[in-house]
Amino acid sequence: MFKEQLHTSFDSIKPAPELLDRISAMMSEEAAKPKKPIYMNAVKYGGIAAAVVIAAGATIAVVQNANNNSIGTKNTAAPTTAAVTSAAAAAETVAEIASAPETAAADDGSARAGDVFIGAYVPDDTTEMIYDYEEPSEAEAAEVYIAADNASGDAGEGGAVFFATTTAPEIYSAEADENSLSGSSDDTISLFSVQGETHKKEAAEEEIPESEAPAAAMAAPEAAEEPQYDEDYDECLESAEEEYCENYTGITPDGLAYPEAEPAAETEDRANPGTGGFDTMQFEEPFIYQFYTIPETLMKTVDGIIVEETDQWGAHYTVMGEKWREFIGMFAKPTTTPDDEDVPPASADDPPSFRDITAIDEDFNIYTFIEYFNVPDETAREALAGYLTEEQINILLTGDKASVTAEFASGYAIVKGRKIYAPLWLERYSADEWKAAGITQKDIKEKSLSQIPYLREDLQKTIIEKMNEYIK
Amino acid sequence: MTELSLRTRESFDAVMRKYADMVYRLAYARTGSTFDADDILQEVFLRYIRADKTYNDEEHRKAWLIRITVNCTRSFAASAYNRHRDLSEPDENAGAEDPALKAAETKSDVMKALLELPEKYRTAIYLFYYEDMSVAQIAKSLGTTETNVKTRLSRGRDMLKEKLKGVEFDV
Repeated sequence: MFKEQLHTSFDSIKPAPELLDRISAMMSEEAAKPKKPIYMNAVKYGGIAAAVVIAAGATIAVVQNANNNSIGTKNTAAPTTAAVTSAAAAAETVAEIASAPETAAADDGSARAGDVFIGAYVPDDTTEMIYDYEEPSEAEAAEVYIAADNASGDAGEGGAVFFATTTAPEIYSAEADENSLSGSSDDTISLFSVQGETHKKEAAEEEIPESEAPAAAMAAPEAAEEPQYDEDYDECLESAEEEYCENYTGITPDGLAYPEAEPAAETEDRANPGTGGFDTMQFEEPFIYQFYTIPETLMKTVDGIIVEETDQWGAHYTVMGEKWREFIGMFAKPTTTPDDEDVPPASADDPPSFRDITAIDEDFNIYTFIEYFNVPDETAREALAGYLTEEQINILLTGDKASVTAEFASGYAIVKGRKIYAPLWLERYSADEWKAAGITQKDIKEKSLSQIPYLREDLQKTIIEKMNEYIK
Repeated sequence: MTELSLRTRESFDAVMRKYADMVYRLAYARTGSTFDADDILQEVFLRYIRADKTYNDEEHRKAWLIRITVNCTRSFAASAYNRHRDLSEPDENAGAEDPALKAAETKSDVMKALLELPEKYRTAIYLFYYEDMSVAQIAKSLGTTETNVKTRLSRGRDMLKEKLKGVEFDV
């Protein structure tokens, strides 16, 4: 039987013991790294919101139901509970637990874990009191964002939390942002990564009446070493398109789930590879990578490209939507039979090879994306700002294929009007095909394709051979 | 193996050792290379530890790991290098001895036939026949529909029957 034969065959496929040991060591190292310093989550019930979630080097969360003051730590690590009944109580508790040696909490609204402690505050008139405080502006928003949700998913506004850390003993306030939610429900803790900027908020007394401010925040213990961000978290965020890492839902000050893309490489660097720092492959491709890598900011201008889904356990994750598949499918290699309706169209798993591409509209890239989805110029401009230079955006939005091709061609591709011939193409196709494409010896010489140290040796060799053939 | 905690932090190493074979074999079944499977195995468990999430049950954890493995192999295939690497190109590791490939060549026609299937059929067949996952579980893990999984299984079986004359499937 097939099954038995398969087992017999695959049972012998195992990772080497030393590999497991290595991974084990890596995992230990990873586990020892400090986590992002603070995670917060707020849960709002019945219009009164308050919650605290704290974590420092560990995943510890406290959530309060402000209606009945019940507090839970569902799905969290800490056996901690807390509740808030008044601002004064919160302040008192914070003061008490600030000196506690370990994770601690009390029934009146605050908790502490490690060097981070927090006091939640529920004024009687929630709305009025909360909005008395100056809300952090986008630019100066604290790095901690509060996520809030309830069972119907319509919570999120007005959950005020004051918090302080020993390393930054000022008090910060923040407002829950329902847009920051992903995967939480009324009884599920979602951990939200804390992005980038350090706290820049003014000291508490400027914002919060002293009588109402949690006193302990002022009496914070000595500063502990600031936990370091793990850059890999951000990498995870960037690759989260089809990832199942909902815990990493990133919240940046501008509300995006992903950090802004790196600015485009300088033109002179592309033309002068001696500056180094580029992937060898880039010299062989028809276009610079910014052209064929569609930034998330641009993807998000079209509904249905990146969609949220929920698995059978209620966890949320993002996937590339059907529209994206349709778009990509236009360029995919025909790996499935055309009448195969059940089989989805070929995807990014089957992209066209750069060896065959000779025009900007033969591959998925920022140009074809904008064209296919009719992204308005201004929308595209906004989405690409910071990713491309202004000049590049201007050229891209002219829609003139020859200009776009010339602008985004990689340093060693030969551009002939709307056509482009990359070293990879030259390697694949014969000298006769070079001629048929109108490529001249001068073109080849201008690019000095046989003398580029960054090209693969075998590619150079092939091109030299074809050049000799071409001359004949 | 004692029962594993559903809290990841408490037993990373135990979880890794319990599921390493599964992840590795799936990575191998999808990439056809133990060298790639080595890399993917590391990546999967790094993501696992970074996720540090709580699982509803063991099945949830297993499904999560399978999904991450599938995503990792997908990312791997779509990486800057592999995206533009033609299958006809010699692999940089071609000179090194791949024990699994060697096994496929010398020991098992079944493995060889499986590895020759298109990836989506291969993955479905592997998860169904080797991991004993149901169609519904496979659909969830691969992020596709049950109909799709059934189609893939059916077509995969047909292809395997073609390649392996006389092979019998019990489903």
